[in-house]
Amino acid sequence: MSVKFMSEGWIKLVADQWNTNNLIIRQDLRNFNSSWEYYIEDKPNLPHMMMVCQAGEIVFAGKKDDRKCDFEMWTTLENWKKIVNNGLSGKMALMSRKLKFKGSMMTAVKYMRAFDIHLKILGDIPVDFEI
Amino acid sequence: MYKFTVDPNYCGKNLPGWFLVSTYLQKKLGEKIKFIPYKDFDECRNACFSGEIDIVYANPFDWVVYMNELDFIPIAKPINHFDEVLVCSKNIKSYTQLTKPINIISAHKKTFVHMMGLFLLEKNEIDLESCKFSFCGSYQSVIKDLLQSKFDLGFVFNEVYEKSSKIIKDQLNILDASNDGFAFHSFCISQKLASYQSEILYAIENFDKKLLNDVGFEGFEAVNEDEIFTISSLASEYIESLR
Repeated sequence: MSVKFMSEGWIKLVADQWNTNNLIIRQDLRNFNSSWEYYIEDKPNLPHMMMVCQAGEIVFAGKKDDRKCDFEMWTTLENWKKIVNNGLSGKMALMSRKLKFKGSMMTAVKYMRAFDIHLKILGDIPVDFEI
Repeated sequence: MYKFTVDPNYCGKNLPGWFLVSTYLQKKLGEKIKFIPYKDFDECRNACFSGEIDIVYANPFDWVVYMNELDFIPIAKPINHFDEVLVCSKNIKSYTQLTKPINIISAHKKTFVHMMGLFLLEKNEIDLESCKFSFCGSYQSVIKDLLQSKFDLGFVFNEVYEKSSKIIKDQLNILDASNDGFAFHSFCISQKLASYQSEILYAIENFDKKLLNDVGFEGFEAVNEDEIFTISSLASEYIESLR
């Protein structure tokens, strides 16, 4: 059964997938403490989703709250579909600016392998784009 | 007359290939072009900043600076070819063998190769405070200094390592390597050549097989605006971090 893309149900599944199935990502990010939010550029009424990572583990996944995020990632629904369905690499998503990005580019490059796996995880969750 | 130079890491054995590129561009543009190689990063950068250079095949850090500060235009990048760093040592085979202080040789602080080298050390939980960095101006010198056992580690540009002889490679241990496929060199032209931009790009995209072989690339393609934006953001952030 699929969940609505960019919903609380979806972000919690992403977090579960991150925490349970991706040793590589957790190994690469073992010293990584950060927070980020996602949103859909052309769906301004939908809430932003947020994840908080401590020592490589997602400790919060849900609707964006008052906390300031280190990174923002957003693009149009059409581009999100391409990223999620086509397994776009982190490098390609950033280089082509299909995924808009605000935050430290140096950090993104430093953890590029983890960033790649993170995008793959987004694609691993069956989603309904009818939102 | 226009002057052409390349990143100083090409002052090694593939230099004749770059002379041929210069001759080729001269023929294609119908303008006199002189090739001037420089032996280190500072010399090359000074030449660009003094207005002597009109075409440069520059590393990603430099082409962003030339674009932002000298209005150079990045036009073409190598196909499937990215700047990566190898952390090498002559005497050490693993990070666990290192003792403090760790003496590290790098070509220049203002290069992405240096930046990526720092990333690799940090990811391996090497305390940068315990590292003593020295800068020798070129990647060839990094290898030379490593071979003379003057330093524990060195940040070696992948392209320079790959073009090194087997004798050299056999003496170097690779402790780590980046594999980001992110930053790239680019041909850039000054505003004096802006009116020739499309002709120069066409000429570079159509290097023949022999010329490509001589400079060691499979081909070149246009740099697009999105790539320029992304690499510029990265370079600007790194430049800011150096202040």
